[in-house]
Amino acid sequence: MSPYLFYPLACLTIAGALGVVLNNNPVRSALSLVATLFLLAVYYIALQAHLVAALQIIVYAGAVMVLFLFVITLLNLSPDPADRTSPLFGAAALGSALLLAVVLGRALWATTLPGAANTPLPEGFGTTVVLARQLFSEYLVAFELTSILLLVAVVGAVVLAKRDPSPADMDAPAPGREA
Amino acid sequence: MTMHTPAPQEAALVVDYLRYIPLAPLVGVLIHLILGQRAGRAVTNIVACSVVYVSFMLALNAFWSIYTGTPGTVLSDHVYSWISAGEVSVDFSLKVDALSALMCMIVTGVGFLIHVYSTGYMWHDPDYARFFAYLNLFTAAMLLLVLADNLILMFVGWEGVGLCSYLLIGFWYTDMAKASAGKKAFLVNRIGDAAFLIGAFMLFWGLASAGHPGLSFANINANVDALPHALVVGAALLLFVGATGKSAQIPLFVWLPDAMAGPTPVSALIHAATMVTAGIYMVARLNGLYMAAPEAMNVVAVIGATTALMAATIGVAQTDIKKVLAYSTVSQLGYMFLALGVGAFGAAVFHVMTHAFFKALLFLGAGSVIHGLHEEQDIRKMGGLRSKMPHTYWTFAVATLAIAGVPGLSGFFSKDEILAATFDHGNYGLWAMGVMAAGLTAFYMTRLTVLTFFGEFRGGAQAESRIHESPGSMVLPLAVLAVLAAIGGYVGVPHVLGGHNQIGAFLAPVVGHHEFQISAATEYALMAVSVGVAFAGIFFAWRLYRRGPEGDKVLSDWLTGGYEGMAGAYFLDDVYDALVVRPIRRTSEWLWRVFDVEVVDGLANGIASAVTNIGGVWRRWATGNVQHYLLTVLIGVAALVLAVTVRS
Amino acid sequence: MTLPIANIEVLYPLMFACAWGLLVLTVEMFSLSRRFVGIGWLSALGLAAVAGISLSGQGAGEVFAGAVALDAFSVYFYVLLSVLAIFAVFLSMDYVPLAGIIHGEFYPLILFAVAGLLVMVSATDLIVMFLGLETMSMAVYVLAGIRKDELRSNEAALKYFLLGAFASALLLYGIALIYAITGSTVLGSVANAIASTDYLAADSLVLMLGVGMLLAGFAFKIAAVPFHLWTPDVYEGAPTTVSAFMATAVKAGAFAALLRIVLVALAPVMPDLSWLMWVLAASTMTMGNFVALRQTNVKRMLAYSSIAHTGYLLVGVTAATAEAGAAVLYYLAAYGVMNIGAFGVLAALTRRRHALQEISDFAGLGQNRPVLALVMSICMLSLMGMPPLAGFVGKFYLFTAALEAGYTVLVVIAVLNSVVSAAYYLGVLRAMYFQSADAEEYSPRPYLNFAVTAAAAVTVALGLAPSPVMGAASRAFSSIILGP
Repeated sequence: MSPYLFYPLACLTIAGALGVVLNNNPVRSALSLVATLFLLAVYYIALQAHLVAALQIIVYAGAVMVLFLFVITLLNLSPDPADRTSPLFGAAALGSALLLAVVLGRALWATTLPGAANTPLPEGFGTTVVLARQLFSEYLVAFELTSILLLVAVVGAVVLAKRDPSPADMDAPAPGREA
Repeated sequence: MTMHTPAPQEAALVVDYLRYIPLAPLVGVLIHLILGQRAGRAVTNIVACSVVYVSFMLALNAFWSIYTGTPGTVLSDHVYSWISAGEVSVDFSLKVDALSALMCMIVTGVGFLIHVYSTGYMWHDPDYARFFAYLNLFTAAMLLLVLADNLILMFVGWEGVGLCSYLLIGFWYTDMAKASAGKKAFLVNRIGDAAFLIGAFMLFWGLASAGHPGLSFANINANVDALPHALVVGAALLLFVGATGKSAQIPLFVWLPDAMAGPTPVSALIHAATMVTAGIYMVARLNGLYMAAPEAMNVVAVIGATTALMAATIGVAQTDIKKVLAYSTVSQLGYMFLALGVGAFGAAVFHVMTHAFFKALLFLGAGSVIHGLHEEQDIRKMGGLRSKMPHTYWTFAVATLAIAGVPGLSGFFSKDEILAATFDHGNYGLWAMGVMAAGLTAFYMTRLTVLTFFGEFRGGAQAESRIHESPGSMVLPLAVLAVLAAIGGYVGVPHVLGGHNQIGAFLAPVVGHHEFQISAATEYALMAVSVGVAFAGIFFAWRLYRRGPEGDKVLSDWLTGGYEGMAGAYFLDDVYDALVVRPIRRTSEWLWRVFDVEVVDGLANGIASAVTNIGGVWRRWATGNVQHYLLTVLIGVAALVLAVTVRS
Repeated sequence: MTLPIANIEVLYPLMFACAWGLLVLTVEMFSLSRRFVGIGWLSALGLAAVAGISLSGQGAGEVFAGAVALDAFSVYFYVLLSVLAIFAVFLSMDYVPLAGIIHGEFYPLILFAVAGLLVMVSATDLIVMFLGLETMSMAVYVLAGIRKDELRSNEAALKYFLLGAFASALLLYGIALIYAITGSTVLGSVANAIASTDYLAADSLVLMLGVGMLLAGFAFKIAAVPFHLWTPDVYEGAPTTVSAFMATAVKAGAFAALLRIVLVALAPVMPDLSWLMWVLAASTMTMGNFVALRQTNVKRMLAYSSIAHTGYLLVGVTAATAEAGAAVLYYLAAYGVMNIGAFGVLAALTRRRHALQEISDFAGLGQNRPVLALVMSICMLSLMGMPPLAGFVGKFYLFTAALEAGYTVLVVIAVLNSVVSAAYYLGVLRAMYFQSADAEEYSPRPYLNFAVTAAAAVTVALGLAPSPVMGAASRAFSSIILGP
């Protein structure tokens, strides 16, 4: 991927991510997230991972974000008033974040990743067929596990979201002192 | 100089009944737990006493095998292999040699008498089943401690007796002070136990790397030479710290006087006759290790002599009958450590035995007095009980003379052997401390007896009319113990007095033989000095206290500030509080404030406002707190990442 | 096209656990009773079957180019986790109606959490391990918040979810960085790749970053300082039996995964990081024990105690020898049963929708409920490290192994810590036996009583006869160590 493409894109992506965190208005936050997710898809395209890029746009930037926006507008959330946090808290947060950034930056700067050399991509890289073959052979366990994970998430969501029956529907209380 | 001949090789005899010695009282515990009060008083009493009697008979059988067998006979009972780690295994196996046979006899014999006594003492207590469950459990744990053939199995009993002591001290929990006395005893003991455990681990590791894996006593004593000297000394000292916890020596003796909050039979059994001698037993058991660490032996001797003297001075100024006896116990245990420290292991064990007789008797006598006086423990409010409780008086008097070292009674022989051994060891300073402590012992014991049984009753006419002699179940054990306290010393009559010191010869295969180098004339002279000091102590106490507790005032005028220190046990509790307890509490407080208080505050607010303002609380939880947590996580990640990359 | 499935039997226990979860989920929909006792029985049956299947399938090897392995290590944890989960289910069969939990999904969620844990402990691939962890976490997030009408339960769930998501992100980032350097997520290949590079050179800093991130993520899951703050809040707020499950099974699973990563994938770098593990172990146990001293709430106290035990377990991870690893495995079993007992007694003291949690609530238990008091005493004494109970034997194994590995100071710190810990465990004993209170009327709680009594019995048995479990632990641990 050309550095002339990468760096401007990276700046934009970071700006989008900051927009998510710094906006007080939830709708604007969500829209910044859409922008960030779109920009990420651009990397995938540049890295020849076309299917992943398409999925990223359809699933995340599309379906998930639409759901987010629906929820936000349905709940009619007002802008969140800024939290009163102590300056010490802010300083500590900023300090440790900077420290982390410095350590990360130093490490990444100093390292040449083994895959970064211009090794030719294998035949058919990024195509649906190759990806599917991989997914259903080498990564079958992971793939199937993901379905279990999603199932658990759905069950959990249903449990947490469904309306409880009124206490009268339940069995007679066990004898004992009331709380 | 002392000649110390090490113990010879032992001849093991495999038997399978040793396991039932600690198991019998354990069965008693189960019966008490399952039946509880439903069993009724009579059944509970019979079960409690008979299981200990079974142990006593089995112990007697074992003792007889050792006594009649060739010197060095050892009975062993391998139950199963308990913990195995690598090629090392810690076995659940029991062993009886001369030393443990004697200890077993003391624990089951004195224990049985105290169980019988307790049936009378606890007659009015509604919670007797729980009491006897604890008392039987204690007996089982103590027997395991004594019979264990390795350090780790001994530790099981070691911790077990500590737990029972805790449960029994706090037995009458209606008084908060008593419950916290139990806690104090347990925690102080735990400090000692930690040192014990570290010492045991060091030996475990050292022996394994020296190619002699295993923590059995035989293995430790036999292979000390293979270990680095520093490790031997370190382990010996750490184990001794453990002993100072259990056997109430400087610096960990502070729990024992408070432990007197428990029922009096408990004080007699646990805090005088058996549990507190566990430390002495352990050191005697590991005599090979200690002989190889002369530095540690010196520490043991100095701590012992210092404790003996210091506790005796404190005992002079106490007014609670059980407190006097408690400090007396601390002081006598100091004697035993002094003996261990100069290498006279046999003398120490001899004193363990005679002390078990007369101290159990003293405590049971005190219990009889307290029982008769309806829970009065202040000796200033006693007096004149000689005529009202004649049986108690006579037995108590025998014990007093025995502990004071009056010639012919048991205490004389054992104490004298310790003092002679110390002198023989060449440590005249420690000998002098021992002699002073002996004089003080005679003094405070006479003071106690005179204030309790002589003169006029000082507790008021109403209390006087209710005084009664104790029932037969309590008096009978007193009588038996009085006989033992009087004649128990004749098993150890020294050669210069025409005796054969049978107990020394009996124990020699285990703890080695100890032959005096001093001349017979010196030995007579030493004897004369200690007898003189004892009579002087008795004489002065009689003079001072014949007319009542006003003697205390004379003494405090004479000693000025020193008396206050003695009465307050030199304020060591306060010192420990300032140096140990409060710093720990403050650290805990600080850590809690930094890492936890936010949450607790939120909690209090949360409960209060939960009903009225769910949204507000929700927000507080969802934002403020989690943000704080996340910040900590962030700092943690930054630190961790910095740490893993910093070396590159 | 044919799928290259060799050794599919490796997956049988996992497949069975997931399928049984689905079955229970389906049956639960038709459950007539709102007490869900039958569902509980069904779940326990399935868990027992998981243990049985894994025992019979031992040594089946790996599947799918090293995604999951059914080695002795996996089998040990499959059985341990199944047993702990069965305990949690039995506790819940009385607790669920008592606490007013009206969602039958409770049991399927436990089964799915177990399925996730099974994946975690047997995964030999970082991605698969991560997915297992997420599956487990997702189920536990919901379980923690399943009492929707209870504010504290909600808080616990939300807090655990937010912080857990953060930890998951750390883990994933760590995995990505490690993949970037080694080109693999399979544990063995990662180890080979690391061994063949000079990982301390400047251009391998990224690898160490990945290691750091991974450790931070796991430190969160096992509740090591300073990633432990969620623990008391979540254990306190979650339903008591869920706290029991989290404190025992989840912690065991997280430690198993950590052991696999630290001692297999990262084995080449660990000698250079043992000082870091040392610091983590020492600070975790000290922090846990000292703050526990201040607690008056038994659930929070147990939470801090579980943090302290994480510290003891980390002593074993620091030592990283075969003996120490086996000791960690044994300790996880011992720690598991005694904590099940302790939390179980708390659950047994639940009144209608109101869990008794303060130490003062234990007053007079020795008089009023002698059996429960005895169980609690055994658990407290075992946690304290009183011989001959399981906790003592576990500490014995751990500390002697650490001594042999040369960590004398750390062992001294650990032993002193266990002295401090006696003070707060004793507080519970003292309340039970040295304080009195009026007897309460309790509804019969057969399953709870059975489960806590069994847990106490196992605690005693594991202490008196540790050899079978310890033998299994040694075999299990040696099955994952690479090399000659």
